[in-house]
Amino acid sequence: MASYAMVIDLNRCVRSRTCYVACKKEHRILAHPRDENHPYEYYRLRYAEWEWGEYPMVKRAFIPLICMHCEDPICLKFCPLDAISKKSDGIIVIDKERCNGCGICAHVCPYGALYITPEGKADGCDFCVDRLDAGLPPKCVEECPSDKRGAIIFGDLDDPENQVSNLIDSGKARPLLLAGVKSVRVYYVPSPNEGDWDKLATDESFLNALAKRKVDLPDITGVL
Amino acid sequence: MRSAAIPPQGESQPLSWFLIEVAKKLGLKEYFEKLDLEYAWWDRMLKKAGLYPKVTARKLIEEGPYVEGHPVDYNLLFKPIATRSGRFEIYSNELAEECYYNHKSRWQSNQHVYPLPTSIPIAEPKNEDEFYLITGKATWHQKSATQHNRYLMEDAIEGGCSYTSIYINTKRAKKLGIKDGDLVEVECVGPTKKDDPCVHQETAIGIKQKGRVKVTEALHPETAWIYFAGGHVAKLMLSKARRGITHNWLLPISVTPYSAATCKSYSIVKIRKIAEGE
Repeated sequence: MASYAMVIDLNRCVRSRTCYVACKKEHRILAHPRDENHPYEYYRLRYAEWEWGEYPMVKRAFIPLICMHCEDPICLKFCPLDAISKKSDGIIVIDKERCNGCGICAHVCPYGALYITPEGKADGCDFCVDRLDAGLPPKCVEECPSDKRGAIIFGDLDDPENQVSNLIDSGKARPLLLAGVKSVRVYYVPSPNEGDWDKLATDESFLNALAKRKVDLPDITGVL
Repeated sequence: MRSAAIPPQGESQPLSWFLIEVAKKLGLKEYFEKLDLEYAWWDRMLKKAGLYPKVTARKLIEEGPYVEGHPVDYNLLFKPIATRSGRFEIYSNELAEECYYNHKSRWQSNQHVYPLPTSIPIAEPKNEDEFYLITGKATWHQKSATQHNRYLMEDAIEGGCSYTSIYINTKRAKKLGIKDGDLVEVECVGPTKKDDPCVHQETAIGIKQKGRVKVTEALHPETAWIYFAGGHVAKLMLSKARRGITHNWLLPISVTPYSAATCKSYSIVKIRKIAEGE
């Protein structure tokens, strides 16, 4: 059985937003409602973009964010209906039949990686599990226009020759570990734009960018 | 040379077909009848290069690339340009002899054809609320060609780097009492003909547009910045593409006096905060 992981090389990312479009198209995720005041956003992949420094020494950072497929997922723990499970290959999947769209998972995910579909079901990145079953890479990996290799690399951690394994083992690819998260399956090759990667989890600008969502999730007061 | 790989699909036709059809309607059929437009354009360029008819567009397409051997007995880096010396000239002998110092020329002693380049400084913002308005392209858009892709125009993307906002330096914005997300009125105030002799038409002066501000440190304090191709006016464009400020509306036209080409594409705008709904 494979053990999947993804590396996003931020030095190669050209901020084309191709992964965003490819993901939404692949999974038939609705465009945001035409009504500008509508509070919902639908995505499996989103971006955190922020700047730091003072003119003229300013950097603008840009990170694609998806479900990190945590080893010990908080969403899974909190799901009251056990609709979220972790497959043996490390991929977190949501059982749409069981899910009632309560939104707790989306609330507790520190990465803001989950959303609620218009049909009232939680949804998030599953590494395009259907494509993997068909022997294809995730759609974002396939569509990334950056260079020949692309900025998103996907592979099996059990394969020592795999590029993903090499990047992680060599320490070039780093996890983005937010509070309460110990281990993930999505790694980044940091670029100079993000500053000190080790301090990112507590960086105010980054956390503000991470929280900048217009998603009005269902009210869960009293549920937790 | 973009030769067709497959026949045109559906009702699509090559550009030459459209040109010929338009020519027919204009009653100019006779000029186009015997013209092989697909190749005529390239043949003209080959003529200029001195290769025609030894090399023709049709031959290139049918037989592949043309290679001409040259003994390397010249400076490989030297590429003559269309001046008398074949080199870049700071002092133009042509302008001097044929225009500025030529008593038969109507351009004699005209300052615009002085053989040395003339430096005409650009106008400057005069007040605290005035900025140079500049534009740039989005990494995720191909000008306006992709603005109908709803996914690309979504808030999730606009969130960090709003496509329809006008960007101002944080410190300048603070001085003017402008915060992130404030609604502002942007009015073109220059350059006028008086400020810059290159300005040819002042119709943009006084034009006002509205937009939301995004403050950033990553911008020169003297400038305000908008995305190129924002602020569409076409009704069928996505509403998100129609928001924002159109750069062209705020741009006084300035031309080079001699060649009439666009010379300085810049604009000075006054920015003031306005109330919601104003």
